[in-house]
Parts: sequence; structure tokens; C-alpha cells
Amino acid sequence: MSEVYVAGVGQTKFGELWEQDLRDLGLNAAKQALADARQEISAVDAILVANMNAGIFSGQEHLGALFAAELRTNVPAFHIEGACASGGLAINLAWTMLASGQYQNILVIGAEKMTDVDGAEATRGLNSAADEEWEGFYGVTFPSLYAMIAREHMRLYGTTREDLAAVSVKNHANALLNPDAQFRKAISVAAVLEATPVAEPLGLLDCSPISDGAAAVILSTRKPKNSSKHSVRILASNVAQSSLSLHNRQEISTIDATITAAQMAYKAAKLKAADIDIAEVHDCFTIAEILAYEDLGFAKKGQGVDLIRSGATNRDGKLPVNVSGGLKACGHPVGATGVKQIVELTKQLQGRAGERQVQKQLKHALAHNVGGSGATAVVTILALDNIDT
Amino acid sequence: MTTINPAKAWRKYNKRYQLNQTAKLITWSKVFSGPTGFERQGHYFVAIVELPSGERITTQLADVDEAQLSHGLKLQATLRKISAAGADGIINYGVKFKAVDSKPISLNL
Repeated sequence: MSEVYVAGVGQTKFGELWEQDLRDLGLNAAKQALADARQEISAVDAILVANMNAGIFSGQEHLGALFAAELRTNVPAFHIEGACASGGLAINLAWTMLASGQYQNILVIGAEKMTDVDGAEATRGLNSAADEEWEGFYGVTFPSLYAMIAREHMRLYGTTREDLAAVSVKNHANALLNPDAQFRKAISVAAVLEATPVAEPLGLLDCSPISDGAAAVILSTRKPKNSSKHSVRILASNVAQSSLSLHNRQEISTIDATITAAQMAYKAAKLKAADIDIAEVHDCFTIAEILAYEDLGFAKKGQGVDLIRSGATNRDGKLPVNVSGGLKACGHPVGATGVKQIVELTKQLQGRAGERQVQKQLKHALAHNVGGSGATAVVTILALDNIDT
Repeated sequence: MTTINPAKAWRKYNKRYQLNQTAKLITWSKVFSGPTGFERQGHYFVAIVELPSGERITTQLADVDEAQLSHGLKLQATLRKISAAGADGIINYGVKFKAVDSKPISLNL
């Protein structure tokens, strides 16, 4: 099986970007990634486009063809959709295609343009990631699904609203240092608790926003040309599924797809959870970051809140989580998110994350991307080569 | 909003649950911001309930007394309007659940 390297990365600003459409965003990120990899498009032998909802949000499908044409190439191009895990799935699939030996150099673009529709329509679009017949029919929304998870986690493990708020406070503090983040604004626990309720017990500041944005990476079987940077390699990437509807889940406050994907990834990478130095996890709602700590094995079930209470997952903590600002504060253009996680972790591993660069030595990084209320989970582990630890 | 047409409605209700069904409350959320078709409802309650068979389903709660809501609350099924009619003009009715001892809510208009 071939080694797979992250040869180049690119990301647009995330936010409400009225001047840019889906095409502009995707192309901008793709061109940044090509420039970062010091490659021309002619070196790319396949394109994967991660996007959840362009049909509803922009009236555009056939995204592989769209971006291949815009980039003036006729190589195979595919649209990958797995709700909010679309980006992670595209990374996983590119890695598999490269490892198979069929391809050598793949451009992965994750892009979503969400702010051209109003809030109710955006909610409808996102709702299509839930079980339409058994959940969507009843007006269930994603905030309400995660709210039901949070209420169950509170009942079983004593998690509080303040614990959840602390996740949002941390991720907003991280985003202050990220020039591409949607919300560069510090917030307090009190502000989270007093925010407009969206789906009790979650309020507005427990929820990731509606965002526009794109991210792109070049994954390659060839060691990157740019020798001034240590190369970043994908050690493992695993996908697991669970029930589409939350009510059919074995346990409501556990994302078992995350557990399965993480266990497979640790095994393939010959690592343990304790070996991970930095992580970008899927904090679509504050409770989701607590679940991620537990289901990825960073904490025992029910004890995820200890990591946020102790500051262990702060930027200067033992295990920095969501240094980019996460979905909550960097923003969540859904198809872009899983790709952006790889962009952020590659920059952090290579020591080129600017002001938000984590100061401790980093060797292993983990990206965790979830689709729906936990029906799809992708866990990807990256390693920095040529570093003695 | 869920798009629905007569054939889809028939399929849905043909395999849905009977009205004499009881259930217990597992978890719930008070929703303030709904999707298209629900956006004119000030708020509504969604829930996961467990049927006597042990099967769990997602539903809405009706006639809610918030102080009464707790894990394990005994519920019974009732037929209610779920969401506003869409372009096809069909009003979506469905099975909601209410507390076994709930009283009809008077509006005191």
C-alpha cells in the first residue's frame, strides 16, 4: 500500500461571504492548495468535491464536472456527500484511491454556500441529513436532536449547561487568533447561558453557525516537493456508520460510529488515544465536543466534562482541541468542514499556523468528522515525518 | 418541510402506530426555531419515546405541562396536526404523544 502525504492545503475565510458563490469559494481554496503544493492542475489525476446541499442552497449539482471544468482539466471528478461528514468522507476516499495505486495525486475540495437561503430553508436543507420519514416529518431539527442527546447526557452523567458553555467559550477564544474564522469574538459562560434558546437545553451560542466557505487539500503518493516543510502523512482514515435516526441508536448519548471509526484508526496507525497530540473534533453543538472526548477515547464515558473543566483541551493544554475555533467559532460550511480539519492539523503539525500555533512539539494529529446526529463518523490520523520525539 | 403527497401519506400511515398506543418519555427538546412548515409555530416539543415493545420512535409531545416532563413519564398517543400545508395543500396530521393524565389546555383568549 502506498504512503499518502498531504502535499498542499488551502482555505478561504469562513463566514457570511456575500461576494462569493460556491464556485468562487471552491476555486479559491483549490488554487491555494495547488500553490501550496507547488503544483499545476496538470499534475492532478482526480478531483473529489465534498458538498452536502448545493442542490438546495445553490440550485447546483454535478459538482465534480463544475470544478473540473473551472480548473480546465478532464480528469475523473466525483461529488461526495455524507451530510456534515462529506469532507471527511472525501479525504477517506482520496486516501483509499491513492493507497490502491490507481491514482497518484488527488485534489479534494470541500465547499458549501449556505447564506443565499433564509434560516428556515437552511434548516430544511440541513434536516435532510436526518431520517426524513421518522424524524424530519415531526419538525425535528439538528439543534433539537443534539438537545435530546444533551438532556440524556445530563441525566446519566450530571453534565451541566455550564460545562457545555465552556466548550463554546474555549472555541471562541481559539478563533480570536484565526484570521479565517467566522467569529473572532470572545464570549463568556454567562453569555452562552443567556443566549436565545434554539432547542432547549441548547441556546444560540451552543450551536455552530450557518457559514459559507471552502477548504482544499492535495493528497499525494509522492513526497511533497517543498522540503522546507516537514511532510505530513496520513497514517489511517476510517469511516463507520450507525443508525440514521437518533431513536434507533443503542445509546442516545453515545456516538457509536465515532467509537468504531476511532478504534479502527488507532489500530491501523498502531497508536492509542493517549498518543494524539492535537485534535480537531466535530463540535457542531457544544455537547458534541464532550461526546467526542469520550467516544474518541480521550476520556471515559461520562467523564468528558473533566477535560473541559480542567483546561486540558485549551490551546496550551495537554491535548489542544479545536485550535482553529472548531465548527462553533471558525464556522461550519458543512461540506468544507472535514477538509478544513485536515488543513488546520497539517498547518499545526508543520508549525505554520501563525498566531494560533500550538507551542508544544506535535507528532500525531486526529481529525473527527460526524454526519447527521451520528450516523456517519470519519476519523483520520496524521503524523509529522522526520521528527524525533 | 417534508414534502408529502397522497401516496406518500398512505404509505406512512399504513405502517404507523395505532392510536391506543402508550409509551414512556426518554428525552425531549423544546424547539424555538423550526424548519419550513413549522416556522409559524412559536415553539413545539419533539421527543424520543419508548413503546411497550421496547422500540423507540421520534414524535412530538402534545398538551405539554413543562413542569411534568421527566424521563420515564407515561404517555398516550393522540392524533394531531403536525405541520402547515405545503404547495400540495395537504395538511400533515400524525400521531403525537401526551401525558396519560394531561388535561386539555385552555387558551383563555
